[in-house]
Amino acid sequence: MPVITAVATTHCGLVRGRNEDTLVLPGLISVGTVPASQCVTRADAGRCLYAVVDGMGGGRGGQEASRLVGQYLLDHLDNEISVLLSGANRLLYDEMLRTPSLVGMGATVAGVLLEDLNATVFNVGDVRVYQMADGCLMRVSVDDRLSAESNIVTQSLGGSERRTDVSPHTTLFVFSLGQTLLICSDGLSDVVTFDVIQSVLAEEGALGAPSRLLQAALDKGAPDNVSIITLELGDE
Amino acid sequence: MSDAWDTRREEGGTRREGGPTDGLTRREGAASGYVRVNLPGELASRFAVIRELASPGAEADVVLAEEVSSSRQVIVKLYRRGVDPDETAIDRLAEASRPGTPGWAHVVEVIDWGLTEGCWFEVLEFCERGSLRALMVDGPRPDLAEVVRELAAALSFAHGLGLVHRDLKPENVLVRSVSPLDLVLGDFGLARAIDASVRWTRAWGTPAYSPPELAGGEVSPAWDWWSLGMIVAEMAGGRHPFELVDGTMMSDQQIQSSLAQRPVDLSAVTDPRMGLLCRGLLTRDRASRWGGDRVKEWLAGQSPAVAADNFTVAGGRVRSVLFAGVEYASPVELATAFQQHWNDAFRRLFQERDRDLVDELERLLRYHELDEAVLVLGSQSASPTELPRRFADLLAEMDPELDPVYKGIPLTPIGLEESALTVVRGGGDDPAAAVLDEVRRQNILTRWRRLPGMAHGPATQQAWMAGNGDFETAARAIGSANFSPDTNDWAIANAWLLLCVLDPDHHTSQLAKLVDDLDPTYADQQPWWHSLRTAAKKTPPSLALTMLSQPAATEQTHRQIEQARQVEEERLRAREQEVRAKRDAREASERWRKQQRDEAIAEAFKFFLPVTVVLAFPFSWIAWLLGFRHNDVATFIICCLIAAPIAFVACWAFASS
Repeated sequence: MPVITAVATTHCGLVRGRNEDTLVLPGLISVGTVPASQCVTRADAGRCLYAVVDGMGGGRGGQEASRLVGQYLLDHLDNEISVLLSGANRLLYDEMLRTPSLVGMGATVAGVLLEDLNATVFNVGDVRVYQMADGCLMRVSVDDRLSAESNIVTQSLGGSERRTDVSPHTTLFVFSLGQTLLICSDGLSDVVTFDVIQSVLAEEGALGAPSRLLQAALDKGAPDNVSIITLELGDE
Repeated sequence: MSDAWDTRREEGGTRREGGPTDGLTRREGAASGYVRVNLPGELASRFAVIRELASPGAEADVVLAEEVSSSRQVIVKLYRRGVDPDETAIDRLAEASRPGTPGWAHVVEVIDWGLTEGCWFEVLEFCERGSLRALMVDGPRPDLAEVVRELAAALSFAHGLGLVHRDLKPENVLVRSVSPLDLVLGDFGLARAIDASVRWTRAWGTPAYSPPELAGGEVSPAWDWWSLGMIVAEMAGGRHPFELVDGTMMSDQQIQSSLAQRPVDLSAVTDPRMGLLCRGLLTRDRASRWGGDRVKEWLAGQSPAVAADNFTVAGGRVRSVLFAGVEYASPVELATAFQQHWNDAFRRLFQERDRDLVDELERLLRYHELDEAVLVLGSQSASPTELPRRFADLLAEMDPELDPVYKGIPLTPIGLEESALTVVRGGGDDPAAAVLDEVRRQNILTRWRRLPGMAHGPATQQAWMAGNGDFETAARAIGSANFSPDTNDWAIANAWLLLCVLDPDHHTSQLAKLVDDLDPTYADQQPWWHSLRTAAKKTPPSLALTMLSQPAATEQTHRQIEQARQVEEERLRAREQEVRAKRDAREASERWRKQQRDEAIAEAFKFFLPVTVVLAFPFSWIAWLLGFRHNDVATFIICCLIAAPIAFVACWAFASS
C-alpha cells in the first residue's frame, strides 16, 4: 500500500513578529514556528487534508483567524470542499460578532484533499498549490489577486466587515507516483522565483525541498511568514 | 519607351517592394547586353530575350522578350527550380484573361504558362508604360475615380474567378495606356485560389498595403479591397498613410502595431467623397469592409454606410500581446517570438499561468478566430508532463508552418542535429543535453508525431531508443568496475546516437574516425577495451562506447602500471629492510660480546689481586716443602708471580661465565 509522505515547515520570517500561518496535516495543526517535520500517512487511511492557512488582519486577528480555520477544517473533514470552506468562512464572521476586537480578521487558504489518491486541490486567496512531474512545475491553484503584480487579494475567508460568500477554486486529478505537490504561502512564492522553486524541487525532491525553500526565502529577507508543505507518494 | 519605366522612390529602407516581379515595372538592375537568364529550350525557340528585368523577390527570373512568331513584346517569368506557383490560380487566370472574355479588361493577359524542364513559366503581356507608381511619381496624374473604377472592375473579375491577389499596390498595377487611362492588374505571383484547401498562409505581401488580418494570415477577397483602399488613400492624400513626416516609411513592425491599435490615418484625404471611400475600404472588420458592390454604389454617386471600427474589447484593451518587450498583433509573429523565448513563454503561459499574458493572448486568439488555439490555451492539464505538448499544439494552431519545439530545441531533423552537435561539442555539458535526454526518455518524437514536420518522429525515436538500449547493454557488459559512464558520457552518447540516426552515413563515419584517432597505447592493454576496439561489427553504440570508455581504459592501465610499480618498490624496500635488520643484529651481538668481554676483564681485574695472594700461599708452602727455605719473602714473591697469570685466567673465566 502506498504511503503519502508530507514534509511541512512554517517560519515567521525575518520581519513579522508572529507567525499567523497555520499548517493543517492529517490529525494535526501547527502552532507557531515548526521546523521541517515529516508526516507519513497510508494512502488508504481515508480523507487526508493538507493545507496552509495564511491569517490576515491586524492585532490578534490574523493569528486567531488562521487557527480557527485550521481547526475547523480538521474538525469538519467529512464535508465537501466547498461546504467546508463556506463553513470556515461563516465561522470567522460568527466569531467576529462575538468578539468585536476581531472584526475584519480573515484568512487565505490552499491545500489538497486526498481520498484514495484522488486529489482535490482547492484555494481561496493567494496561497498556492503547485504540482511537479518530470522536472516540470505547474501551478494548480488560481490566485485571487487583482493582477499578477498586485498583492491585493480579491477573495478570502472572512477578511471583511460584512458577510461575504466565497467561491473556492478546485481542481481534481489523480495523485500518482513520481508527482510532487507543493503548498506554500505567499511568503514563499512572492520572494522565491518560480524557476528556483522548480529547480529546488527537482534537486531535493519532496523530502529535502521544504528546508531549502525556507532557507531561500530567508535569504531573500522573508518579509512575511513562510509556510511550506510538500507531498510525495511512495511505497511502504 | 524607356521613359515609361518607373524608378523607385527612396523608401527609407522599408519593404514596400517585395513582389517578385517588380522587374515588370522597372528597369534598374536589368542587364543591358549581357543576359544571365537562358530560356529553356522550348521557350528559347519561341522567344528572343531582349533584356533581363530585375526581380528582387528571387522567386522567379523575369525577362523582356519578343515572340518570334508575332514580333510581339512579352514578359517571360521563369520561376526558380523548386518554386511552385499556385497552379489553380494561374490556370484560371490564363483561361479567363483573353481579350474578349466578358468582364476581362483590366487584368494582365496570361498568354501562356506551363512547366518546362522542371521550371514553371508564365508568358505575360508587356505593358510598356510601366506602373501606376510611375504615373503617381512622374505624372500625368490620373483621374482617381477612373483608377478606382478600373481597379474595382479588375478585382471583381479576379474574385469572380476565385482568386485573391494579396499584393495589390501601385507597383503591381500596370499601365497599358495613359490616355485614355487603361490600367491592368498585374503580378499574380502571390495570388491564391481561395476555394482551394489553403486557408492559412504565412504573412506575405507588403504590410503597407495589407489589411490587419495579414497578421492572422487569413485570405479572403476583402484583403484586396483593403489594399485598394490604401492606394486610394495614398493617391488622394498625396502621401501614404504610413509615411512618416520625414518622408520615410514606417517599419513593418510599426505598421502592424499601428494597424492593431488605431484606425488608418486619413487626415490627409481632404475630398469628402474620397474620404468616405477610404473609410469604407479600410474597415477593419472583413465582413463589414466594402467590396465590389459597395464600390459600384459609390461610383454611382451613392454613399453606402461605413461600419464603425471596434478597437477595444470589454476590458478596453487593445488586441495585441506584450511579450518580451514587444507588442505583437499577429499570432504568427507572436508564435515565432514564443518559440524564440521558449522557456519564458512556456513558464508564463502554462507553468505559472501568468493571468495577464494568458488573458491578452486569449483575446488576440479570439479576435483572429483561432478557436482551437483558445481551447488549447484554456484547457486544464492533469499533469505537468502534458504541458510541453500543449504548448507545441498552441504554437501549431497559431502558426501551422512553425517547426515544433521542445524546451527550446526544434524537433525537426535539422534542429535535432544542431542541438546534438552542440552537446557533442560542449562535451555533454550543455543545457541542451538534459533536454535531449528528456526528449528521448519521454518518447516526445513519437508522441508528437501528429504535429507538422514531425512525420520523422516515430522512426527517429525508435532507432534512437534502440541505439541507446544497445549502448546501455554494452556498457553494462563491460562492467561498472571497468567503465561506469558519468552524466556527461551519457549525454554525449545520447547525442551521438541521435546524430547517427539522423544522418547514419555521415555521422557514423565521423564517429568511427574519432575512434580511429584515439590513442590506443595504454587503453589497448585492457582486454575489454581491446575487444571493443577490434570488434568486427562496429555499430554506433559500440563506437560511442569505445570512444567514451577510452579514457577509463587508459586510466585503468595507468593505474595498473602504477600499482605494479608500487608492488616492486614495496618488495625492494622489504628486502632492504631485511638486509639492514640482519646487519643490525650482527652488529648488536658483536657489541654485546665486546661489552661482555670488557665487563669480564673488569671483573677479572677486580678479583685478580686477592686470588693471586690466595694462590701464592699454597704455592709458597709447596715450595717450602720442596726445600726452598732460605728466603721466604723471595719465594713468596716468586710464587705470587707464578700465581698471577693463573689467577687472572681463572678470574676472567669465572667472570665470563
